[in-house]
Amino acid sequence: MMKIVVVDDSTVIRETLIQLLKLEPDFEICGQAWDIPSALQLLTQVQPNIVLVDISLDGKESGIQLIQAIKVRYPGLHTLAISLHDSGVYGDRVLKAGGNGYLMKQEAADKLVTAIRQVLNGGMYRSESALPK
Amino acid sequence: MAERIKAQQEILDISAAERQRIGRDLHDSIAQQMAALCLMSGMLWRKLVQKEIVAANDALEIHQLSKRAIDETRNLARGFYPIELERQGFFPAVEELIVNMERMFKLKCEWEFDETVQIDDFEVATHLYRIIQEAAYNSIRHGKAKNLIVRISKIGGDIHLLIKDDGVGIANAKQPMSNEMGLRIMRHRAKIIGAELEIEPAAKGTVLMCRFPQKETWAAEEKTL
Repeated sequence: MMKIVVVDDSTVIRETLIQLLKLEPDFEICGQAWDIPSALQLLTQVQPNIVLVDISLDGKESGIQLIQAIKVRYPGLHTLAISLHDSGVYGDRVLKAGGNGYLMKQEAADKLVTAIRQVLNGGMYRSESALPK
Repeated sequence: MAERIKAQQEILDISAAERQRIGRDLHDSIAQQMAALCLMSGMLWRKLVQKEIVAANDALEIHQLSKRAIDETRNLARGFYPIELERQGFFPAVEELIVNMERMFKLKCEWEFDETVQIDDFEVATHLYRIIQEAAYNSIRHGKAKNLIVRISKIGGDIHLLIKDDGVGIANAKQPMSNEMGLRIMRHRAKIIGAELEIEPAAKGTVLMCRFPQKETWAAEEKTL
């Protein structure tokens, strides 16, 4: 089973992502969080294979800070950034922070599972619109 | 007289605050709810496809519409208040604006930003952002452009903004400029930040050039006045 943690400050988005992930028989949701403190607290209690992180936690870019913190504390833990933003700059910044991928929320229904599997298999995933020039 | 000017300024401040609130609500609340709708409709579509139910096509259409609605909502939010400027800074906000326009209007854009240029003053950043936004929309709406170049560079002590499109071109740059509201507002914004703004026809399309001094120079000039 692949264990997944979902971090997004929107309850509706979190719950919808979870419903989407539950359609996959080998995915297990082992927790959800809404900001950096709750996410880091959760990670001391569960051992996921991948963490989905909303870039715009609390309306700012604290998702990137969370990815950095996870990279430092749990180097082997994969992270996939998700966001409404489609700027190429965010894709680069996520990778520099140690993230393993960037997925636009608008594509999540179609590409979330593909993105997660690609990252869990050791690859990177990047939404097309976020590719730099 | 002073009272009237003060009252007018207060009205402008209230209007600006209201626009900011609407822009934030659209960006932080409505757009997020649209994102949830997009996810849910996508999930519904997948479930219906799995069960081979014909209504899957309707679900797909809802899903596609919701994606467009997200883009338009975020675009509308930027029109009220460019929240990305506040949260991400000038260059990420401009890049996001351009990428979004590429997707919405099937426009091909190239952008080149000199990383040594710093636009930390929020008022300057806002006016410059709005100039780029208006110029790009004019290229699409009026110029029917398919390709757009946006370049921000530093030459000497000045910051240079260049926007070039391949549209139908602005007619007769040598004659008095059009009185269209958008052009007037661009000129007004340029004046506020102490910039020179020129809009001219190119071999094909239109070129906008905006030049203004770096913040340190601008601040130094203010002190000498």
